Amino acid sequence: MDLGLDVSENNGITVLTVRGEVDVYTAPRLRERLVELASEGHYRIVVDLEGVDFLDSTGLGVLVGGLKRLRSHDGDLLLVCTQHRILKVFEITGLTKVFSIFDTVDAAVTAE
Amino acid sequence: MRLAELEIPARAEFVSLARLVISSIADDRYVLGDDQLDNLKLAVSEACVMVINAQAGRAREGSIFVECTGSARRIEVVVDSGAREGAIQKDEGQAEVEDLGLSLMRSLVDRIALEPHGSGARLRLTVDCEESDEL
Repeated sequence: MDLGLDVSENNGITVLTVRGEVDVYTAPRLRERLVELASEGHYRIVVDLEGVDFLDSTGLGVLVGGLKRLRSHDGDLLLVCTQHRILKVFEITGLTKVFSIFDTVDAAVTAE
Repeated sequence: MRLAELEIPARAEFVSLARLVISSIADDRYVLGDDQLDNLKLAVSEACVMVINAQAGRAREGSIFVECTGSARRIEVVVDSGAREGAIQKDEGQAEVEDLGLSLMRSLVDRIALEPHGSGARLRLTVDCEESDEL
């Protein structure tokens, strides 16, 4: 099972593009990447989940951990997601109230 | 009717196998919407994660047992460790992520039961659906 993680910049904002399945096996790699980015001083990160096919509670936990880490540095973690199957996971767990979720990377970057 | 029985190592890399096998069988034998199928896949995955977490720290690697049974109107998936040690504990006051997992499972399937089993519990997930006419 493959997890793709690509980092780019859009108008000075760090964008982490995630592809594949984020589950108990792959989520630690996402956590490592977020921790690395934060330790490099990237405190405002847009995580693009448009290419994610599957997201479980472990993946949610990693995103919540990333959000807490970045907010402790006055930063933020914004999400990009329009897929019903992924959005549903945030809705069920009430995390749509915790994360800012946008339809496009451009919209998330502009909001920053 | 028993549709499938799996025993996989209680390791993270095998969880995708369990969810793929169960969702493929369910999709093949029952009339399920995309949403129901996605929900079942995620619920099975969360149940397997509970078993892995319950077995964390044990010296010997454990297993995850997944049994899928079906009747004309429902699919049931039972997930447990099959062991006296490292079973899912019935105490639900566990870690934050595990609470997220349980809360997800409750919303994803029609019924979820934590049944006493050995020294712990096993999870029974039930999805109401119709058997496929193509069988």
